[in-house]
Formats: sequence, structure tokens, C-alpha cells
Amino acid sequence: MWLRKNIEKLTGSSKGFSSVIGTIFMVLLVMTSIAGVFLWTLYQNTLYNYAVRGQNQQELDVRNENVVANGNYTVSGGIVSVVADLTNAGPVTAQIVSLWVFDTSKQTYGFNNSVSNKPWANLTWTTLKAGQVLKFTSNNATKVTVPNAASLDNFNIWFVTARGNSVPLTQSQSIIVAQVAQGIGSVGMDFGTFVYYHVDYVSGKYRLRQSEWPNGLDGFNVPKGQDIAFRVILTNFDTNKRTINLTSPSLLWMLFPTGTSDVPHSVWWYIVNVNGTGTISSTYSQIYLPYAQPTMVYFAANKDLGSNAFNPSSSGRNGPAAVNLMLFGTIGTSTFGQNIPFVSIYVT
Amino acid sequence: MSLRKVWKLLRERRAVSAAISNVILAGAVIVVGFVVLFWGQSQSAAYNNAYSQTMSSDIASLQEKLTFENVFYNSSAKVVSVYLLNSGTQNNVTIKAVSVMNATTGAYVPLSKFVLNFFNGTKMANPHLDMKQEGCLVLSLASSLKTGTRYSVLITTGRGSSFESTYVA
Repeated sequence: MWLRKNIEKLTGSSKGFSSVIGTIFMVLLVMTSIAGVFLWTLYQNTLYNYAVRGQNQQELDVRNENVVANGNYTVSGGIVSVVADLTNAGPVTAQIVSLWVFDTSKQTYGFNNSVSNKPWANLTWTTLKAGQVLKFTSNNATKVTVPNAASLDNFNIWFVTARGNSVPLTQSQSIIVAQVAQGIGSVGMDFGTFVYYHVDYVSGKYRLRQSEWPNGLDGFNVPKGQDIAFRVILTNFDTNKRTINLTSPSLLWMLFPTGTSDVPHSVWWYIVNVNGTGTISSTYSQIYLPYAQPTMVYFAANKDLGSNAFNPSSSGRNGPAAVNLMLFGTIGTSTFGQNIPFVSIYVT
Repeated sequence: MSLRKVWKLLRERRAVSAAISNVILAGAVIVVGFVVLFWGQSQSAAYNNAYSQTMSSDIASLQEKLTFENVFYNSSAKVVSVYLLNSGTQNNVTIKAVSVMNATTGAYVPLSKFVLNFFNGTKMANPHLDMKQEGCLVLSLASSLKTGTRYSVLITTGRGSSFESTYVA
């Protein structure tokens, strides 16, 4: 009743009506301005909160990133070759940006920041998904040039991820193998890859039979009276990581047990160089065995190529025979010699 | 109001001064009102602008991150090489100031200059680091560092973020 009366009074009289409208208008304008500022401030605060949240997530990802590098390295001519398995053991995807090698003995260092461009890795930007393993094998070892680096030096090696974490290289158990090898010699042989080839004389050159190249035939059964060559894969496990150079007197020696004449018989194949097409070189140049890098070595000559031209060798006898590898050369700056009594073969 | 009434009002001389004064007063009030309104709006716009700039700057600063890949001191050249990676989410990270400090005593080592190079040693024409870009900051020291002592490098970016790493000379 009272309200109705007042409204009627207000609408019925024009006095003071404009003041009310003006006040309302003014209040609306002021409120609009204040609301604009208030909402803008809220919007900016929201943006900041988003940024803080994003940054917290990134910090969390950095902490959760867990890449494990397990492997080894070799040093040759100031180049450090890193052979490693990189395993992403964390829940987030990681990217490898660079590899650093610091020679603590010489106080020199080097890096390789093109680790990401490895087509063999079949990965985009060396991205490691959770649980993925990236293998840097001896064939695709990541190389870092470190001035004056030598195999006896001590090194700190680490990878850097895109999130900024450092992943130190943990040396794998090949060191233990090397320590065992120290007791019996520095060179080890891969028994699973012992093969032989027939040797043909084609266009004035001796070469390994093309139909058998490059995989070869099972080396534990070889033919009698045919020119053949052997291939072994040797790995240098020297505890001091020195490179081994094999010289021309190195040979593969086959020993037959004594027969009715009580005289042991033997036949041998001297070390040779074989190029990428299977052609045997008529002369010999030293073969290097860098530390921890499996290397193919061929034996085919009937005489030391250091002082003789190449001629193929063959076994004139048949039956079981023990085979020894007699290796000569240098290891680092020292002389080297090792006999590896490694396999038995049967000649038919 | 009919035309006749308007004509009568114009011809009527009584109370003309009061009407004129009212019109002037009302006009002045409206003008002042609009001035105040526009001033208020410009002030709020300026505040909004300043606030958003501050926020943008804070966000950009927050998103900056520099990773120290390696720090190496060359005693013969009296140079510290700091290998950096922009591992944050902001482009155009510039280096505004660098200081080298003895981590044990807190004494600062004076710098003669610092240069931001690419990893291959080439000087950057426009020294800054974009996202995931690497750069080598070469610090020329005015005095030698003590071998075997721990030092820390503090880098301040153009946006005001600070990053520190400790190394042994």
C-alpha cells in the first residue's frame, strides 16, 4: 500500500525525476567501469594461474624424467666413441639433445650436439618414449672429439635432455669381462660368427667367393684340399682401453692330432686384408682393434704377407683339428702377443 | 509542447535569465560529467594495460629456463665457458648480467666482458636463445680463479630471471 502510494506519487510528479534517472545512469556507468577493471584483473590473474600451473607441470616432468645410460667408451686418435643403451625408465617422453665428454686427466672436453640426427635410430629427434631403449652400438657409436684424449685418461660422460636433465653414462659390465680377460689375454672372439669362404681367382685377383660373401659358411666344418679363408670377429677387452694393432705374422693355425706316424700335422692361414667387395689384398696393412669394438678379421694366406705375395691356403688333411689364433702386434705403445685356443673344426 | 507555446516562451522576457542559467548549469554539469567519465575510463584502461603488461612479463619470466650443460674454466686464457640450453618455453631469452662468485667466501670475481656465441664458437649477431637453442656464454675474467676452488655463475636474463650453477675451477 505504502509502496504503491509512493510509486504513484513519484510517477505522478515530474519533480526530482530527472535526478533519480541521472543518479541511476551515473551509478550504472561507474559500475560498468569498475566491473570492466575487475573482470580484466580476474582474466589476467587466470592467465597467470594457467602459466603457474603449466610451469609446475613442467617442473614435475623434469623431476619425473628418468633416462638411464649404460654403456662404455673407446678412445682413438682424440675421438671418444660412446657405445651405450639409453633407456627411458620414467613415465614421460624424453629427448636427448647432446652428449658431453670431459677428460678429467687432461682437463679437456668435447661435445656432440647432433645426437638427435641419427637416421639409424629410426626415431624423431632422438625422442625416447616411456620404456623405449635407444642403442648406440659399435657400428653407430656417438663420437665426440676431445683434444689430446688418450685411452688411459679418465672421463666423465653425460647426456643432456631437452628438459635440462643430465644423464651420466654408467659403465657397463664389459669392464668385468675385461678384468677377466686380463687373466687370459686382451682379445676375445665371438664363437657364433666363425665362418669360412672359398677363395677364387678372378680377373687377376683373389677374392672371397661372391655367392658366399659377405655372410660366409659355417666355419666348424670345412672342405679338404680347397682354397679357403676364415673370418673371425675379435673384440679388444684391454682393461687400459688401448688399441691393438695386428701385424702380418698373425695367423690362424690348425693342428691335426697325431696319426699312425705319431707326427702332428698342421696348416695355417695368415692374416689378410679384405675390402668391402670381398677382394683379398696382395699386401698387408695393419688391422686395428679399438677397445670394445668388435672387428672382423680374415685369415687366408699361406705365407706371411709382410714378406711374401698372397697365395691362398688349404688343408691337405681331413679329420678333426684344433684351431688356434696366434696374434702378434702392438697394444698401445707396447708389444703384444696372444694365443687363443678357441675352436675345433672338422675337415672333410 | 506545441509550436505556439515555444514561440510564447521565446517572446516571454520574464524568467529568461533563470532559464538560461539553468541551461548553462546543466550543460556544465553534463560536460564535467563526461570529462570525469572519460578520465575514469582512460585511467581504468591504463590500469588494465599496465596490469596485463606486468602479468605478461611475470608469465614470460616464469616460463624462462636456462640449463647449464657444462661450465669450463680455461686457466691460461682466464675464460669461463658456460654452455647453455634454453629448456624453457620462452623464445628470445637474452643475457642481461653475469656474475662469478667464489662459492665458499662469497667474493665476486670481476668480469671484463661476456659474449654469447653459438656452440661452434661463432659469435651471435643478435645474442639471444630461442626455445631448445644452445649457446656458449664466454666470460672473460679480470683475474684468475683458484684451481680446485668452487665457484658459482649467476646469470640474469633480460626478463629478470636468475639461474645459477656451481663448478670447480
